[in-house]
Amino acid sequence: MKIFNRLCQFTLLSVALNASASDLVIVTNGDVDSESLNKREVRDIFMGNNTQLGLKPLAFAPDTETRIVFNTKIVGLTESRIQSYWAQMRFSGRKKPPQEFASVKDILTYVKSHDDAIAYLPADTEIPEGLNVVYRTD
Amino acid sequence: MHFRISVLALCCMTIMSNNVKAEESNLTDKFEFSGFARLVGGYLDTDEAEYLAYSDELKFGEQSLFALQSDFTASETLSASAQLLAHSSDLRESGLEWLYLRYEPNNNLRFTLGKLRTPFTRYSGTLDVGFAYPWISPPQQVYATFLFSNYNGVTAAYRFNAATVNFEIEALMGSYSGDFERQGGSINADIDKITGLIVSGDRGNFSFRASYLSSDEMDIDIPGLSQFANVLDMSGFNELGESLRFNKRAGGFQASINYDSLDYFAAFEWTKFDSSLLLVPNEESFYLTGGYNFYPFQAHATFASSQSALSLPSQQIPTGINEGLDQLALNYQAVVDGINKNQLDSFSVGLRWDFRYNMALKGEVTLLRGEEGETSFFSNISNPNFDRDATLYQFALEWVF
Repeated sequence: MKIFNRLCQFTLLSVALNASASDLVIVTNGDVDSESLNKREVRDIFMGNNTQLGLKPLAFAPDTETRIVFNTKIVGLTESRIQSYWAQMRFSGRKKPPQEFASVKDILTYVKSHDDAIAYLPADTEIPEGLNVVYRTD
Repeated sequence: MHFRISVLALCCMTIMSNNVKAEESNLTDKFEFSGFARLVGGYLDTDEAEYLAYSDELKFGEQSLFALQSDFTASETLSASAQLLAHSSDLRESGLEWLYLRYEPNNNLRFTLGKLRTPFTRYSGTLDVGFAYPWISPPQQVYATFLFSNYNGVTAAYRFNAATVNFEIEALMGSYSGDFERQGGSINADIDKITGLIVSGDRGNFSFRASYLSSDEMDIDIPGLSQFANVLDMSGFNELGESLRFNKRAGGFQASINYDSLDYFAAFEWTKFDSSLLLVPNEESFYLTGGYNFYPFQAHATFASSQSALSLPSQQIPTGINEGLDQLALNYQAVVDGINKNQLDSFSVGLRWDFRYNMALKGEVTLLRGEEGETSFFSNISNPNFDRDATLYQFALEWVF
């Protein structure tokens, strides 16, 4: 019975860890109310389609886990379709893809020093004071 | 006009660059380089004709290319871009494909000035960027229709969000001068007035686009044709003479819808080319494509079709009266018979493997079913009895950087 209980605890822990790794928060230094954006608005901002908020989206480098979660949960496209989209936008002169960063630390440093920056981060990231969480994935 | 616009764009770029130097800004931060390349191999299973210049021997030189783009950001609102293209095909010119200035005073407005790509269809602006679309060769019925791939001019675009839809309305005006290629032939053309309007929108993974482009005040040089038109005029067949002149309007309509998801994608695009010119047939074309994503792979199946019709004049040359009229009628019919008509159905299946985030390998097989007696997008037809049925096999390496 003890073994069974431990197995259950381990399974629950794994589920909890996976949930936190696969959830995201969207943070900005801009003038946007806390948790005021919806999923469609977040998608529009990161695909270069939002003209109202004037925010500059930041992204993780391709093939990083956080980016894969963002592609799946927010954009709803595979990495190759997103790359194709940005190739079409860039080489037709319409818009440029978000600036890319290698780590959470690099993204946070940039967001803290730029008022118009907006970025997605793993849900378990410690958010520095002054930054606003504008959306959370379920 | 085209020369003046390109020179103006170049002058502005130089001034912008000098201003930046004067301010001792860091130039390396202002310049951004990117590019794309593709290596495409193809084989057509017939020795009676060519399609996209592919024949019954494996060829790599028809669509392979390398391009370098430089974007120079002068300020938050002003930037300039140039794109240099090296193309392996003899039918395409290598050199400056793009040179334009972009001014974005706010998030909603964008103005461009210079040498630009003609944005008629969904992928017209990025037809050379194979990485951007699922096919190796986009359906020719829709993508070979328009006469000129780039033009010199200005565009103004307005973007806005309304009722949860993101809209963009773009107007353009310009001119074109140069050669255009159609099924192996090269014709010199000067078009002084090109105008267009494009409306596009998206909501989530759904997008749509519609455009209208028209060209007017054309001067297209086909040796011998204007002399023959004069002969017809002098013989009293003014309507027939007029039918061989490029002094009328020609325009194209486009509409497309597209849906993308993690697992599937589907798209439909339709074009209609309306022309009162006898030598430029009316064409109506569409494709329907669907695909399945199983990252890093993607498979697609595409059906495309086109219909072609000529704007024939009602006037006719009576025959059997005298030898001169018979010869005139014969010559006029020879001109009509020589006009490319492009009725074609095609079905293609393809597989794409994104083995790196910016590189993909593709394979594609296309079944072509044309109309006997028409060009059906084939060229160099060596056997007049060729049934216009063939299969095209292609593979490609696509790269963006």
